[in-house]
Amino acid sequence: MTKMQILAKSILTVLGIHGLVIAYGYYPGHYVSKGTALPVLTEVLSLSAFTVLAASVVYFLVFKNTRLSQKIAGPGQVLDPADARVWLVKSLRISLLFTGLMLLVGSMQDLVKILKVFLLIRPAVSDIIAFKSIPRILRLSYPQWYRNIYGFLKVLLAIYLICGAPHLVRWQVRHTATADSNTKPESIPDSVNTTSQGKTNE
Amino acid sequence: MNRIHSFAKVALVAIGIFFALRIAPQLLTVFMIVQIRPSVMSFWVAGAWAVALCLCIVILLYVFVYKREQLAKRIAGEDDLNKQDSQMHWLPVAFRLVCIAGGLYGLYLVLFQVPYFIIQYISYTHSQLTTVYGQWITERVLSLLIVLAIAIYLLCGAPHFVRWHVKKTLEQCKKQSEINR
Repeated sequence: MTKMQILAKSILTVLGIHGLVIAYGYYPGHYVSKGTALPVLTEVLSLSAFTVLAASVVYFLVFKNTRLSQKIAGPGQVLDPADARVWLVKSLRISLLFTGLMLLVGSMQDLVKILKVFLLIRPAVSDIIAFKSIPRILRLSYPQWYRNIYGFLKVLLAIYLICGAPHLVRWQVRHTATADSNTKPESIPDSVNTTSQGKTNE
Repeated sequence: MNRIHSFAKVALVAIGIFFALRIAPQLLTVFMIVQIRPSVMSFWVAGAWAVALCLCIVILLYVFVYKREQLAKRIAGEDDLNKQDSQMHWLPVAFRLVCIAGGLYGLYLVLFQVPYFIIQYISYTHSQLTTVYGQWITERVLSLLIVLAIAIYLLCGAPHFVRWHVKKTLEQCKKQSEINR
């Protein structure tokens, strides 16, 4: 694997994660179902179709990006497997930290909402037990539930990414190493490398 | 000057110009503030906001474009400029640059929300602000204050955070190298 391929791989991973978050942020399902005869069914169908579409995009950008990154980066000087692993860890961690920071800063309102829920959860549970009634903070419409769950998951994802996403990085490195050993990458012949380096030195 | 220093300089100029361009359209909100409730007070508020925005853009361009050399030296470390590039050296620089970009994004979000609050404050009466919108505005102001605090920390280079990340990354790299053996 070349340095450019590693860089392309990191960028594709970040794009996949960021694209998923943005796509669900702009998910139009709850607007589509307004005024229809079967709102719940429409909602479920549209959400399922949307999830399949988003999952396929994420699958090719995050999990199966080796071939795409090789196509984007083109041939180059192939690194040692050990060096490639180290480079991949570093570039992935830097790019995932960047995405995590962007997501966390953008979802600070959701974080405040979560903190508020922690403060209000005890009186709400007491209300349910004592009066057998649903408290006001839980009486939300579908779009509000959607926004709150989305916000909560976004904050969790942002925190995980800021921590360096160790599991994702480990998985990517292991997966790339396996894929690399199975496929023979395109590389520049040694003679070309030597010539170009010689020209640079001159 | 080594490669890391040059890279830091280019990245800083790019970050500075990008965020200056993102903040500049906010100047249009000045007209919105005056338009919603034309009065002497809103005129003064709009004027103060315009001056604050212009100052932000000027400071951003001055620090990130004009003083890029000094800033890059602070980020990359002046003592190490003559040393050869090493993976140990560029890693904290990259993390610091990412933190600075994240901090500027936070600052941009705060600046993006301020005219919105000014408009809310001008449009609603005192009773509306204290009852219906009071709680909602408190939440938003609180979230903005947290963002501002995080942004300032990140813009300072987030030393503890960068140290922690470098340590963890190097540990993970070491593990990966051992796996390969």
